[in-house]
Amino acid sequence: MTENKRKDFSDIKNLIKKEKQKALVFFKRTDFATRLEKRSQLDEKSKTSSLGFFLRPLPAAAFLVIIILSTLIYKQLTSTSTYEKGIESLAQIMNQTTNMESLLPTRKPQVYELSDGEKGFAHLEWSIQRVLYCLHRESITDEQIPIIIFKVLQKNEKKDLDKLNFYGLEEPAYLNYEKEIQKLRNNNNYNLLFSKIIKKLQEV
Amino acid sequence: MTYKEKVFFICLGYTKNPCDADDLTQDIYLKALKKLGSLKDVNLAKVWILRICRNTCLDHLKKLRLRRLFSLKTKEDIIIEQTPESQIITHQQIQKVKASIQQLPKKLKETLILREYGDLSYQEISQTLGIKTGTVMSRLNRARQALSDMVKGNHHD
Repeated sequence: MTENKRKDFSDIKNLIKKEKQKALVFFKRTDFATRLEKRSQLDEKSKTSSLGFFLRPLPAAAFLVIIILSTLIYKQLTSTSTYEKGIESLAQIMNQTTNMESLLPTRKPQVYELSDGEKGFAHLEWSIQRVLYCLHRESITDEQIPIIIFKVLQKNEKKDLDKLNFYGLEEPAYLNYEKEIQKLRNNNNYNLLFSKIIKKLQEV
Repeated sequence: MTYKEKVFFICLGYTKNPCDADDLTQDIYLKALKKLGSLKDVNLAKVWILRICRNTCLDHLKKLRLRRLFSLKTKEDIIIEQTPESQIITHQQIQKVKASIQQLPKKLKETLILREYGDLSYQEISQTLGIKTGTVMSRLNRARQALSDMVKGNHHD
């Protein structure tokens, strides 16, 4: 440090010294120990009060975050997937579905045509009707449509499957979800069917 | 000088006026009372309380930035209004020095305050900040030079 700068700094030091002297007079006037004791007692009081903990900002905020997170986790655990939701909605509005003939696809899908001809097809129509109504009610994307329809069919077919098992017969191939969903995606008939479903939905 | 006064002076270095410094000193001692259990070695009590002092002062500066943001009147403004004119000039000079200290880089500022306000030795500063004594001396030198330049520059204005 140069001599000039040392001199400049000594002036600054003197100003700081004056400030400290003035401040010390003020500090000595205040009864530090008594005030500290009072504050300490007040602090203890607020700590022991049952609501005191929650009145402090940080614990209150942490508590709120825990409540919100717990609610979200609970909802996540208890909520059903979109697919199950779709099926649930189908089941719920089943009885409300009336006069849905106009929404039927004009082309008959071939994959699910059972050997028991008409009965199987009628069953399919009913399932598709319900899906259409559900799609109208729920905000389900196009990608989810074939999966939901398949699950609905699968659920409906379960009764038939139980019957088959009862009689000791094999599970039909079309009830294998993994295999059939791939077929669904590649099957032109279903692509046509779904595009008709979506079109009908838009009209509705 | 008692240790309580030492802590008060360090707080004075970080605050604008003795009132705030006094409040801050109270906060520091209150924190120290609460955290007494964490003090393992009585011989380190001085350094321990100085560290609490430093951290509390830094928190205070953060809050002060928020207050300035909302342009709230501080106790400082009230004191100036009530002080006789003869004392205002020295007070203003002191405030200029304090304002210049606040503009110093953080590391230089805290070293300077501990030395010039707290009258701490190089050893004590090094223990409080967790740095080498050589670093303390180097920072002090740079802080003094920077402060002189700033204050001189202000005077020329």
